[in-house]
Amino acid sequence: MAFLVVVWAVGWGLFVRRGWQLYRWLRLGRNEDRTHGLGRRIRDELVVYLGQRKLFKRPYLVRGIAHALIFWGFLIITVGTVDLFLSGVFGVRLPGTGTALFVWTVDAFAVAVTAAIVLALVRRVFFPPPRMHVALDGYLILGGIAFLMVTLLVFESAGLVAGVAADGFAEPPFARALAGALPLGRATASTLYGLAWFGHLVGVAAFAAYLPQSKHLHIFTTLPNVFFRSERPRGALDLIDRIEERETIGAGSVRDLSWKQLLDGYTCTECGRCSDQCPALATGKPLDPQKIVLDIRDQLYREGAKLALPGGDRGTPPARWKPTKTEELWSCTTCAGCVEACPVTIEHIDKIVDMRRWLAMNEGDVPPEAQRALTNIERAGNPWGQPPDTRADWARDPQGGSTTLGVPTFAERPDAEWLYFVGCAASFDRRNQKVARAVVEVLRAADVPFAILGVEETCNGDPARRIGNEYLWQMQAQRNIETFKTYGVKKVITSCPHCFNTIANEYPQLGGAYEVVHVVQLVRRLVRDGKLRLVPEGGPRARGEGTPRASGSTEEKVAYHDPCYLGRHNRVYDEPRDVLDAIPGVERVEVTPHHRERGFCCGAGGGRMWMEEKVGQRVNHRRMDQILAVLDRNGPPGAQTERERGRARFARGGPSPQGHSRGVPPSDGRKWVASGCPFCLIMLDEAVGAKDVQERIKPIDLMELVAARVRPPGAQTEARSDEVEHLGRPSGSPAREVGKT
Amino acid sequence: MKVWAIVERSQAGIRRVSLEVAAKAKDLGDATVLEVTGVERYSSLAAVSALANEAAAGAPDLILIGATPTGRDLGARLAARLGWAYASEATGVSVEGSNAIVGRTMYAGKVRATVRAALPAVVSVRPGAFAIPGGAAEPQVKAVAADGRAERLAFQRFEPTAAASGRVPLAEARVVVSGGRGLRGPENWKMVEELAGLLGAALGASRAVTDAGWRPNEEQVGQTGRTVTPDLYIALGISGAIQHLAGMTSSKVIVAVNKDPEADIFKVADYGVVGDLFEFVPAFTEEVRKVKEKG
Amino acid sequence: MKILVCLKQTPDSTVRVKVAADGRSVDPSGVTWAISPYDEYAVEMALERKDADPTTTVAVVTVGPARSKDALRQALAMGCDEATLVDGAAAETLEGLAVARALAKVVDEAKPDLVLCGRQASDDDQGLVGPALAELLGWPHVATVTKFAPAEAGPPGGTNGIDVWKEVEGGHEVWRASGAAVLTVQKSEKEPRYPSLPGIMKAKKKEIPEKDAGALGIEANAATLETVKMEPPPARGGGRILKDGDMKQTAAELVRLLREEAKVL
Repeated sequence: MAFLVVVWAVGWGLFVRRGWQLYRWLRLGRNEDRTHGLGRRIRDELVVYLGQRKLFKRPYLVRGIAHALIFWGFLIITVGTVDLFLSGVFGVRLPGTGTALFVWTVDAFAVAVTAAIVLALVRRVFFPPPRMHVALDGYLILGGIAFLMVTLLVFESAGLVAGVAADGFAEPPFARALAGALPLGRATASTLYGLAWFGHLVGVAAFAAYLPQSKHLHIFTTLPNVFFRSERPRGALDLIDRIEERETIGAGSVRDLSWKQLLDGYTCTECGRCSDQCPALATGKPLDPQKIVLDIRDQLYREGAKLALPGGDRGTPPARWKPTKTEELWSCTTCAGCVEACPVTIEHIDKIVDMRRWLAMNEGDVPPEAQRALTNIERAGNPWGQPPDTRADWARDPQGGSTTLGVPTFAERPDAEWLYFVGCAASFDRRNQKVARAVVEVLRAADVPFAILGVEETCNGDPARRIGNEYLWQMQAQRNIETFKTYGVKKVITSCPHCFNTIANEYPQLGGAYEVVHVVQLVRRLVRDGKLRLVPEGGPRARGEGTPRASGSTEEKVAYHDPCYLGRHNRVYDEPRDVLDAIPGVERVEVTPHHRERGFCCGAGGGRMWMEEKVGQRVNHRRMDQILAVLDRNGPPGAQTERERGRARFARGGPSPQGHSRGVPPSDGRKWVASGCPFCLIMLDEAVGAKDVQERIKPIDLMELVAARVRPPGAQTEARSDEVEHLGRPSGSPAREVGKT
Repeated sequence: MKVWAIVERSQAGIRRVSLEVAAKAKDLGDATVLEVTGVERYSSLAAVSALANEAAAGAPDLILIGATPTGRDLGARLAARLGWAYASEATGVSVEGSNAIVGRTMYAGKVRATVRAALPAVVSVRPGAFAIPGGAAEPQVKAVAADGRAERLAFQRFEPTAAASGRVPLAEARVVVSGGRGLRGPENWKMVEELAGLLGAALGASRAVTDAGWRPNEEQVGQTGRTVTPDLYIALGISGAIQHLAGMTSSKVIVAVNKDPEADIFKVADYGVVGDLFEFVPAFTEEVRKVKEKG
Repeated sequence: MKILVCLKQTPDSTVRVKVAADGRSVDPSGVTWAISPYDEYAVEMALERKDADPTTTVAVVTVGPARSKDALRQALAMGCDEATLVDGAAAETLEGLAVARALAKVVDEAKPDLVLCGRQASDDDQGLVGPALAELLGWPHVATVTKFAPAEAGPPGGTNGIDVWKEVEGGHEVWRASGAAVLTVQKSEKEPRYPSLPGIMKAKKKEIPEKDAGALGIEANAATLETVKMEPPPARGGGRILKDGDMKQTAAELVRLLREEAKVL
């Protein structure tokens, strides 16, 4: 008995000692206030921690259930263990531990947990998943839990055989069954009973001692980790305030990471779900989000003791960790696939950006192409370095003179209700200028009172912030906020998810709070409220409302690609789909399984639009492969052979029909992929060009689909069909035929 | 009106731009054509000293020199030595009274200017600005002996660039074939090189492509690369960013091949082909080959 | 080693330069100003030397109006140690040779071991000041430089001079300067560094002494070069887009046009 007390003292003593060390190292991190939103935090704790909600995501459902059982079992059984200890050492029992409910629950869980452990061991030994960190540690933990469960069951069953069950206490059924199966005499059972009890408790002490050395620490750290998760909107990075007064900016060592980021390191269970989602890793880049988190932890373990000494030094910069982080950091597209997937709410992107901030602002060490984009933003207000006074040219009559599209600026129309913040891409990129014009058409068709800023608009700063140049972002944001203030802007429409995300979620950090929508959200609202009517393509010349929905073969198949900054970062999954569904003549195709929360990035986020991909397959090419695979699955195999395509091209008298003029019949089984982001559009277009699949698929923006189908105010169809690409049917043909039944 | 023309030689003889300058000098007045001799390679102090002495004796009103890198270097320092006015990269030169009226571009080619330079002046002349009259004999060249000891720098060695062997240099090329991102990768440059070889053209590249490391920096045409003034500039897979245009809009004839009909390059091209360059360039190369073979 | 970099503030390359109403100058409204690109390479080249040898000091100087201080601050933010502005009524209108004279005075005072500048300014595109400065100082100069390094086989701590790489046709000539020299820079080894934020903040607070051009003995002489007219370059375009026919036909057609119409083949 005394021995046991000693063992427990030692075991738990080691636990506390190591725990204290970890806590001290945690305190090395920078301060961060994570106490706001108490209600939400408590709710998250219940749902995510207790409820294990994030574990059940596909395709991990079965594993998730197994883990949940183990976890819940662990919780229940812990109560039992305490009871075991107290009863054995002090002869005291906890209230309620004799009830049938309690006893049966413990019993059932003991069995369930054992089964789950066996499952896990089998998987680990025979079918290890590619990205899981399979190490001795895992086996020790699983073995340890199994040992605890077995000793518990043996204890119960031996106790039953030995007849030592206390009066008035319920009988555990499984243990009873086990007791029946075991050929034990009373004496043996009695000994076994004692041994099992002893063994169980020693096991617990050993477990306690070992736990803080292993990744199983997560069972404790997940509790605070979930509680202190970021309450910022997911798409928002944290603000560095008083940036000009700081000596150093960003994470130049583990000290510069916040305590929460270090806690993430302790909490990582090494499950690899984040790695599974990472588009960079999937295409051969050196980035592995799991590794970023674990390397932080390992670095802290390596340096913690030294740094914790009084007068301890700064710590090693990430560029000099082993392995060095720089290549890995720049490979990130900030798509949040990792953050979405993580069951213990680790925030990978924040760490990566903080380390980028160090490189960008302290060292001025940014990939040169990205640096150019930043310099361009600073000097010309757009990453392409286009002359700022041409920013509104997309809305101008190319022949000169006033705007034929009638797009007023706020200076001309100060009472406009909405600001359409066009964004650099739609302002300067040729392909995306068509989208801007489509947006304008739609807004006018619905009589939405809006205006643009024209040449007073400047880059929202998102690329700067993601690349790590927080200062430039703040400067850009403040410029726009000032301009918004001048015109009393309160409501903003964007056609770019990056504009949307930063204006809606990040500008408030600097005092700019507005009602911000992505245009597809507005369109959905307008359609639902009847303010916008979508007719079959071809405009009023086609049979309008009375046209029956065409049968499958003549409907256009449109795959929907979730832009990361609309989808994962802002959870806007359904509204674009609703809009797509509301478009007559269009059949929505999902790019399963890489859609919605598991959508695959186009590769342009995180400032990567401005960086070269030097390793592996290009992320946008991989995405295009996924989209094509799904479209081919979903329809008649429209793909001709290489030779047939070549012949068709020559016969048509020209090269790829990237933009078809009238008279060129393009619909030859071509399918479409729609998204709501100019960068996705650029990347998907590049992939189509590089893979030479122009005949099979055309990327398009949702707004272009919508614009081709709104009832225009007045007969402007002619002008529109030149500017806005139609879906496969030149005006004046099949749409009308379809109407004729 | 005494006009001097300073000529430069290459491996192949007097440089074309020097012939153009000599012809122009003759146009403008009593022309003398000179050449700095006596040094194996250009050295500014040696050349400037020799020419300054010569000028002190000969008292020309205007000294013209081709605006090659050497010419511009020499012209500038010579003007400073003599205390004369200096205008670089002239596209036009005429004389009005005691002034030279020089046409030149400014702001990296974004602006065309006419400047008045008080005579006496040194003017460097853009290659291709002036014509060589057909059938003109090579001018008589007066040698001006330079003393290498005037130079205070010591020549160590020449380091050739691996890629550049046998290539036509951009600065004076009459034809340039230039590649951009539309070529998708460095491995696709074979057809650019083939076409350039056929045309006796220099290789150019957009900044995007040199930044990405596909092509050496020396090939970059544009604001911070080279400004070229060939008779024919063929832009393959180049979209036509402003900074690139700045480097080549002074070309006589611009041909652009690009898949995107809206590419900015078509705004300045005299002949545009909207299409897949991977199909067009081999076909075009074939046609050019046919023509060249016929002679 | 002490390096002095001479730079000029010019309209940024993204600016669409417009001719002013007077028809002979550039409209300064709406212009974003920056260090002239070749000068930026010169600054970077000097700073790369400082990276390699931290005992190097890099000073920058410019001759120009008060707004040129921003360009100096940018150079300071990139990592230069000190900056000087030569301004005054005369400074804005000084032309090449006079600028070189002002700079020569600054060099006399500052006594650097090496002077760098960009090979030409992105506004006047002249390329005069570098060689002219060398001439006024009586120093040798090398133009179109892409690299320089301490001469090999020199005594440690002693100066055996520097080796300078000059870009020429087909490669580089390597010249050795055993004493002070002026280098005009074509390109630095790396892209000009983006200033770090602490650098920017420090630069904001730094003192930039001003010297008056007049006080340096420079008068705005009667200009030897006067711009009498400025106009945008002739608009190009109105070009022909060929897209009928297949590639072979198009190619043949283009060759024909180039031979017969444009007469360049």
